[in-house]
Amino acid sequence: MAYSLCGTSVDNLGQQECDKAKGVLNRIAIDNGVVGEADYATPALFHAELTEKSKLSKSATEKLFILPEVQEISDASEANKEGSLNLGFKATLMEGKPGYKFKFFGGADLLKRCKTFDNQTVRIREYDANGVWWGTKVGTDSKGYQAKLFFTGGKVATGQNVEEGVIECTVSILSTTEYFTNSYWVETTSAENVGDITPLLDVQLTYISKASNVYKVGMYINGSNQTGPYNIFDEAGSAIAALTFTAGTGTNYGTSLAITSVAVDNSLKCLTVTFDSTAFTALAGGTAIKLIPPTPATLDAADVTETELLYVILTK
Amino acid sequence: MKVINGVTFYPAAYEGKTEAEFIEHESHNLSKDELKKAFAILSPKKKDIPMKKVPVDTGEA
Repeated sequence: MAYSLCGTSVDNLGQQECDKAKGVLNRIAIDNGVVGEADYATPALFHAELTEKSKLSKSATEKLFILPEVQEISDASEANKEGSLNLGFKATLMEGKPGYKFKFFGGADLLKRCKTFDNQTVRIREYDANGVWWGTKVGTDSKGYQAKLFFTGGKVATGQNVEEGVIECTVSILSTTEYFTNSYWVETTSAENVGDITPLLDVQLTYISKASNVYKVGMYINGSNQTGPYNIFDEAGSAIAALTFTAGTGTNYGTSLAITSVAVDNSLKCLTVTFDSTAFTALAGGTAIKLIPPTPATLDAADVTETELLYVILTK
Repeated sequence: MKVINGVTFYPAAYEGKTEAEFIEHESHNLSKDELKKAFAILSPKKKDIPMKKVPVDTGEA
């Protein structure tokens, strides 16, 4: 009779037909938030949740940042640690941490933005060529795998290979438990278009000039062009001027300062923001005023897509 | 909020304000005539409802 403790720690080895396995990586999404149980109940709900998260402000806890499509990938995992005994026995002692490098196309400005994530511990979701999202599970929440990312690029092209506009990302997975033992998938159907999940561009509200309570505020993509930033006024000025701005002063800018009007200035190609003159006059000289723009989701609903307006601090 | 002639007017611009105050405050955005028309839209005057004559029964035969 064999006495065994195996049954207390092992699982059966049968498998379901058509069980998923990771396909070729198509893209990754940096997501430090969660997708709750109700939001992954169906592929459509999961896709809608990721789409909504991609349209949040970059400062939101649940924000999802998606990277462009992968153009090249290579494994960069640490080798397993092996040990042996001198009579020929050899065994794997410890699993190497998984990792990989992938390349995608991006310009100088995107490289700068990507490098703000260098060596940050983030969570990533993987989307493969079969339309399947991969991540891990914590309680009943779907989460991305913990990882550190490092981005390189911006070197001169040598003409020997496809190098121009290529950014490389090194992914170092922190937890083999999450990545191998606790890996979960959500498949998508043809109805869910990963292209709906979009990255946003930072558009900085910028002080131009003022006359008492009337401020001229520009909207610029700072970019990498030495000659100057890109003014989005022509494309989106009117649409943005019709949306709701707010303003605040004081501690955490929690005291509301009334805005009476927002208009387009077609000459200066900027917005004219007018504060209530009585409230404005009551402020002390030098008071900092935070001008808060509409959210990315509000902009998106007004057909100003892939845009996050960043607030500006004005001074009386 | 309403957008009139390309200017988005917030409630603070017209609520509790007279036409003259509104025009003075927003004069950098539109002309006086345009602001007059805008104010009429944003803060329309209440129309007086004429009193109906209701016969009173004095009890006389």
